[in-house]
Amino acid sequence: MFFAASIFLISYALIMSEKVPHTIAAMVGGILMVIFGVLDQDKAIHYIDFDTIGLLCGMMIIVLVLKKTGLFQYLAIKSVKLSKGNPTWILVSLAVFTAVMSALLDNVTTVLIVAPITLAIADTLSISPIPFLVSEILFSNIGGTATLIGDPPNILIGNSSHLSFMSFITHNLPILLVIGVLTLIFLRFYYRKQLTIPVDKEKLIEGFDESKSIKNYKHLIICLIVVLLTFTGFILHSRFDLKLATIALFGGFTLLMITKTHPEEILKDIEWGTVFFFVGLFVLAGGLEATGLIEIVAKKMVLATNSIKTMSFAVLWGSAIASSIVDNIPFTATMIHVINSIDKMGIYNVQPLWWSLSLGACLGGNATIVGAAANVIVSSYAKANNQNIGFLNYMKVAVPVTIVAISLSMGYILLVDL
Amino acid sequence: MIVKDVYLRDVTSVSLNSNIKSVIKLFNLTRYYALPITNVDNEYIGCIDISDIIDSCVPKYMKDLSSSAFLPDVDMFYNRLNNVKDMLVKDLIKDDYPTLREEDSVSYAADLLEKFNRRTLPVLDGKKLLGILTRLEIISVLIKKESI
Repeated sequence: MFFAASIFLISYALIMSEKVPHTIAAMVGGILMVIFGVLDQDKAIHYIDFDTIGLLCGMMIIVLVLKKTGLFQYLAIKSVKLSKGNPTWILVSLAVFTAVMSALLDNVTTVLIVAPITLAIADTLSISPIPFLVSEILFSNIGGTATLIGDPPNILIGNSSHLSFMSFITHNLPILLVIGVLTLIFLRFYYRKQLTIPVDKEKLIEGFDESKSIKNYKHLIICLIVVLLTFTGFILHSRFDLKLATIALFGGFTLLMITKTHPEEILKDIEWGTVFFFVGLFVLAGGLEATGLIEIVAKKMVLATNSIKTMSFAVLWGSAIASSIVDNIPFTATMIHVINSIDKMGIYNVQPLWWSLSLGACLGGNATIVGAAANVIVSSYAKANNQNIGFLNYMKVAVPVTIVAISLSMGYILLVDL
Repeated sequence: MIVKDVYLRDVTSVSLNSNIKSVIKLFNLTRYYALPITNVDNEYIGCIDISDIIDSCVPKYMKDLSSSAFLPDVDMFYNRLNNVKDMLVKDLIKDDYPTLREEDSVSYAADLLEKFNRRTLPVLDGKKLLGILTRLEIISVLIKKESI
């Protein structure tokens, strides 16, 4: 138990300190669990959640193929043109675009698509891109919370809790719509002075030609049909007793086959660092569970909180605070074992705990610029383009938004789940 | 065949404090795509390439768009070039510019031009600038051989 706890804590400290790339810290920690005999190799492999890995890889392939069609750029420009050059509506359209894309794809891919477009629009219209970039960070995390595939914590929770794809949408979407509308009203008020366009530039938005983004319409239509079928599969997966990983991988490789794309061309761009990070985390958390430490923590939590209501709120706020400071993926990977352990005790129905973890870990990531991968990517991308969001300036906007979002989630869980 | 057999013995160069506008004028005059940079003792310091100037006028975000064709023409490039024109060579210099020696093979020179995606390479003897080798010189050997 001593070895397992030490390896786990040192690995997590290294992941948080960012002194070592997180993939290396997680993988070395996971392998040390085997070397020191905490787990044998078979058990270590048993702890790797291949549903999550398969879903991640399948979605990455789909996104990589789709990205090449220019569709995302087309949709982003189309939605911005609906604003008719009004900066408030540009903010709204980019935020909605980011939220929808984040719900359907992963947050990092979404912000990597939307951030360059935002900078191009701001540069052309001679306005500051900061309000738009900040709103995109916030809405990538809000949108990602809405679906099982939208944010890594949800992927982990979905695969461990056996909650269906649709249950994430039906449970999380109503409260996220409320949070989204309030966030937009707050952003409009907060950035009111920056949301103005020089009169002579307003008409320029009409000059954006989204049709030039699409390179091959036939290719695009084929891709869209496959993607539509994949998402239909996601919605119906529980009815056909199919895992999401099976559907995502089938969709991804069918796309490669139909578009006659050489697999090497796409597979080399899969974020292998992220995939191995998950593998390492699964083994690390598995090692801790195998020694019985997770069970001890779960029992202590049950004793300390006394009721499912208190425990849900503790999980919600605890995961929100933890996610705002450190990476929410390792935190969620560990908490999943704790919740499963509480479930095994048979005292409570743990469903409210899953939703608390989902809302807390995903929305908590909004609070600081280091809270989620999308935040870090947008802020460093802005810096590379001579725009500084600033750690404290970001927090001035994001902390109130996050506190309101978590408070509303608390009321929502109380109302719906408890 | 080695570099010595084909390179141009032209030591036209600019200094670190030359401004970009004067460098563009020199590019026009020589029709080269890169010019060596030397100090007061005529020692080689680096090279300035036309692509480095163009690169500084194209914002990073544009390179990350799947296509920038959708943007309306608002003369963004020329506005940026206008801002760059008064900058100095030392602001745009890249320290990884490849160089050649006279005794290097032409095959190596061709490979270097391709690997670094350059059109012109300086030829040096230690720090002394001897001349330049362009893509045109390398392939023109064929014509020169036939005429002999």
